[in-house]
Amino acid sequence: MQKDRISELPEPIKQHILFFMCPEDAARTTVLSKTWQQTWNSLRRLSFAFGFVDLGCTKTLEIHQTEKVFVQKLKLLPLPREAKSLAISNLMGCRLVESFFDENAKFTRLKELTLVKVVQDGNAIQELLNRCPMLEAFSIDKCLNVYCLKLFNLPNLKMAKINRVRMFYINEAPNLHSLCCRVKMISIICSLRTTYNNSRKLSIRIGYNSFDVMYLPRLNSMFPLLETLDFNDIRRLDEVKISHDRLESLSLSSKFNTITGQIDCNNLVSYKYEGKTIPSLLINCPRLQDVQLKLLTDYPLDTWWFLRLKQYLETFKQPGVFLNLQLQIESSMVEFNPELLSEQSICPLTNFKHLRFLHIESSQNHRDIIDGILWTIHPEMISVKLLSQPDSALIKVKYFVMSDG
Amino acid sequence: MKFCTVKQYFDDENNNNVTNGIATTVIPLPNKHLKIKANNKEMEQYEQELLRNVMPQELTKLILAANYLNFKEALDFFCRTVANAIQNKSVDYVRKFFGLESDFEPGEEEKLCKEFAWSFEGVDED
Repeated sequence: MQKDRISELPEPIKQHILFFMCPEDAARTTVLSKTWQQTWNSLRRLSFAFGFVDLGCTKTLEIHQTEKVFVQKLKLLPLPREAKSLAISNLMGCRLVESFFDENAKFTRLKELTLVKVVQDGNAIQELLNRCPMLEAFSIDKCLNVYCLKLFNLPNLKMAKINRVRMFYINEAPNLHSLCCRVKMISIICSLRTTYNNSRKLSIRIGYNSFDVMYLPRLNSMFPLLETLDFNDIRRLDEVKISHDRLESLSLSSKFNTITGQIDCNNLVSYKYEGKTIPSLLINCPRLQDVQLKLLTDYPLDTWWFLRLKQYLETFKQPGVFLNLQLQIESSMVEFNPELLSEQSICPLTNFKHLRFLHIESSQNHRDIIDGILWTIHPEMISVKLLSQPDSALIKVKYFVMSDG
Repeated sequence: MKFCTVKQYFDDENNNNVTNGIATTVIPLPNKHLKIKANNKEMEQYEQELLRNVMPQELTKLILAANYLNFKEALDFFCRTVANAIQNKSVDYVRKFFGLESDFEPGEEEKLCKEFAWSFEGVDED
């Protein structure tokens, strides 16, 4: 019999080989010999991601007290009762069964948990979460019917990304560094004493809720070190008041309303706004450098619209600020009549870096669009997102106008 | 630099890890890689040819060489080959392929098989 060399390979290499196999094949190597069993047992981190495997029964996996734990994409996920050394777990496309979780079993070493396309029976995901006291990073996406998630008592939680969940509660996460969520409702429960001292980044995309009313006024006290705030899809908003000493980057977007309000941030460097209409936000940020506006207009534009745009852009008076505008004009009714504006100053704004047209129809009145825009601003660079039928008429007009000086 | 270990290897005369035969196979790989980088199919063919005549023993040596030379792509490639070779095969087949004997007690092995019954579904017959 030839001497078996492969089994003599150093363990990390054998594990490397196992990683290239699907979990069933890899699991079968345990039966080969004691050395292979040892290799399988000492796989510390497993993440297999593949297609569904239909399984009849889960009771086959009773792995108590072993060091190794594995996680895989099966229809019924068998998780060991006591998973002592699972450190990173990526569950994709599997089903968590609530009754599987023992009262006292905890995943004491689980640091990173990612759930994608996981179907749960009952409240399995919450049960799993309740058993990961040392969790540092949590991410969930595309899991159906997850109504409510509570991230409670996770002192080590640094990063959380929550997508497509209805409600989300979090409290007592003093180490939380970055929170990104896309939920219908968020509730950051905290006593008056709790501050999220380490939160640097907060990225919220919310359907309906009162995040603005509840948290924006207390932003400074609740998240003192916040550096980045993304607040997207604002719907129910009366007035936005954002006042924060350390915020450096702010991004707001709203698909429906016109946002009004005030932003007072001494350290704000970057500001992004995306919406349908020109916002009425007072920006009081002396250090502002980079402003990116994206206006997706689908209503008729007239001369006064251009005037309002100019007036809004003029509010960015800070020295050294550069503006970027992305403009989408869907309506075919654009009118610009400079004579109506003869009383206004005719200086187009020059601190403009980049103007980008996102969507221009050939049926539109290009001349007026260009006139209107150039009356408003003189950008350093204009770019057009090319449509499937490049519109030479538009290009011609622009060239003509540009060459005029 | 992929080949700092190679330089070491040439400097180190008492090297038993990598015999000359293996070195001649592994070392030209990166050049070939570069030449047909864009063309994946050619690479596949080249790889198939290379491995058609290689026995598991040779494969082991290749793996060790790639590991010693710190050559990640080759290592991945050879490991993947081993994985593919035993994919979905029965335990007996794999034992023969590797040339190893079971060192379990009879009861133990059965227990393990039961425990991992889920992984035995759909396995090829020998």
